[in-house]
Amino acid sequence: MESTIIIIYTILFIVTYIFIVKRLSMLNDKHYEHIWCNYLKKSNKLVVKLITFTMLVQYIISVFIIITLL
Amino acid sequence: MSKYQDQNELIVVKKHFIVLFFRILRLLIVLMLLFIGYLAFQKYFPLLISDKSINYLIFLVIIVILNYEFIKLVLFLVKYYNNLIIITKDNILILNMLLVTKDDLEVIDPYKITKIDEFSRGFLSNVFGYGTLVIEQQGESVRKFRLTPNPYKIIKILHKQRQYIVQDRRKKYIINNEEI
Repeated sequence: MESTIIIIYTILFIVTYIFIVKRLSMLNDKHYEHIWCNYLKKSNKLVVKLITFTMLVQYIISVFIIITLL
Repeated sequence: MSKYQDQNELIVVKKHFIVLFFRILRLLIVLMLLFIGYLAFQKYFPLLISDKSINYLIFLVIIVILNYEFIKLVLFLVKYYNNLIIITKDNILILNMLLVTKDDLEVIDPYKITKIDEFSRGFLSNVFGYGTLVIEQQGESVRKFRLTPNPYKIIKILHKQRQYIVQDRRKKYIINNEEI
């Protein structure tokens, strides 16, 4: 039961992460083409790092809760 | 100041960092409340917790709230770093982007700006130095930019930019008259 939930959660989590990062990069490239602002490139890298960190914390806490409560 | 200046003489202004701080604080409070709530439930309703179906229900509620708050934070990070006022030599660009639902890019001509105001009201806004920047344009609606860091400096930059634009347009106009 636990392992099934963890596997499903991991798959959903990875799909969400990839979607967010890819979509963000795509929009960022689009904006960069129009504005030519280097800040956008720099901020995008920072946002991706922050999102990765936040989602990693989210994953660790969620897996911990799944293991503890189930 | 959340300001960035690069080689192309662009000035980028994003919202004050206090917005991000409050968002993270909110997440921490929710996490703490979930933890305390679960402990209290365990202490005062031990029989209910031992019931498997109720335990699953509590688990589901906790996991949904937790993931919702984290995803909200992630989306907020995207919004925070992509909700920008970009001041170039000739224009003011307003980029307002969310991940899936919104992707706006507005170009304001500084020549058409009639009035620029700044409001900094409240204790926190005066201590941390943020406020509302209001830009009025000819025949168009008023634009408000809330939680803008150091609005006085931005007003100064916008005034300089407007002066430059006005001079530039006048030069062009005079040259055109002479040609005629």
